[in-house]
Amino acid sequence: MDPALRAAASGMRAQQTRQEVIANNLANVNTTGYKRSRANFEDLLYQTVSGPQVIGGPAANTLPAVQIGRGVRLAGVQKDHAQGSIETTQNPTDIAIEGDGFFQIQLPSGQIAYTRDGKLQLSDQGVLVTAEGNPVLPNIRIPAQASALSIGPSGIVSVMRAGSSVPEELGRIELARFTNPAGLMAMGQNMYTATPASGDAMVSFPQDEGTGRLMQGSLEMSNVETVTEMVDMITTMRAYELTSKSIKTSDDMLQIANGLVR
Amino acid sequence: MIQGALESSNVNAIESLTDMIDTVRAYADVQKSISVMDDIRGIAANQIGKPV
Repeated sequence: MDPALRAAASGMRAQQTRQEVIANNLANVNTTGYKRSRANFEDLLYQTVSGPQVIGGPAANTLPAVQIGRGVRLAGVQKDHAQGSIETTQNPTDIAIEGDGFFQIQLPSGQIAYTRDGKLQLSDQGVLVTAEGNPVLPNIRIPAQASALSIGPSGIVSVMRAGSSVPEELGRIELARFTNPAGLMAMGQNMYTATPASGDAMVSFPQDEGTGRLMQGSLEMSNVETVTEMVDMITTMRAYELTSKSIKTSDDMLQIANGLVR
Repeated sequence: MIQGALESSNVNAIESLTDMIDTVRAYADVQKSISVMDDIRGIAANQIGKPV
């Protein structure tokens, strides 16, 4: 009914969405491999009250159009794939990626998912798997009698066998890079799937063609900065209060208009 | 499916409350116009034709 009321309501809704994104970032401040999200807004359509007018005469001038904005809308929630901090855990199956690249995970459905979460473990068959039990491609099987699992910075997985003083190379972990990692779709459980927006996965070995390096015994923690999130939360709260004041003012104006007649 | 979790309602409080403000004001406007029409009819019934 009242356009000012609707514009103010769209503002309140936008701030609420922003707060939801901030709350999710703070909830995942200690999640391994989590990438912070950021809500982007754009102004809604404009209502053109009168179009550009040409004032007649010898030197014709053009007056600009008269436009009134109608609110704000959510343009998108973008993931920020900046590097998270590295924490050493001394666990031989924990791997952190320093630089670009995602681990490739084989899902039970046959689809390939991508993750930065390097908290891996060995399955009962000695395959490197994630916390949910999905194997990391390529399926490298560690024999049961081997010891001293070593994962080099370029992805080479090697073990020490009994009766040999030379490490035996078992395989090489591959990482996938994307032209636009922000276009990956988050499917929960720290995993992403490729979409047309992210581009095709470019599979390569670590430290090849700009892919990052692996660090065994470390984990990449989330890249959420609590100070930034708290400051954003304060500005969101103030904007929420301002738009709610705007709604109250519109309500009061309607009430005054109603009270014109006795 | 997530075990041990429940889906809460998707009611958006801001939408509902803004619609409520709209509805209440529209209701008050219509009620005001009814009362004005009633007054007009009162004047027509009682004042017109009254000797000065």
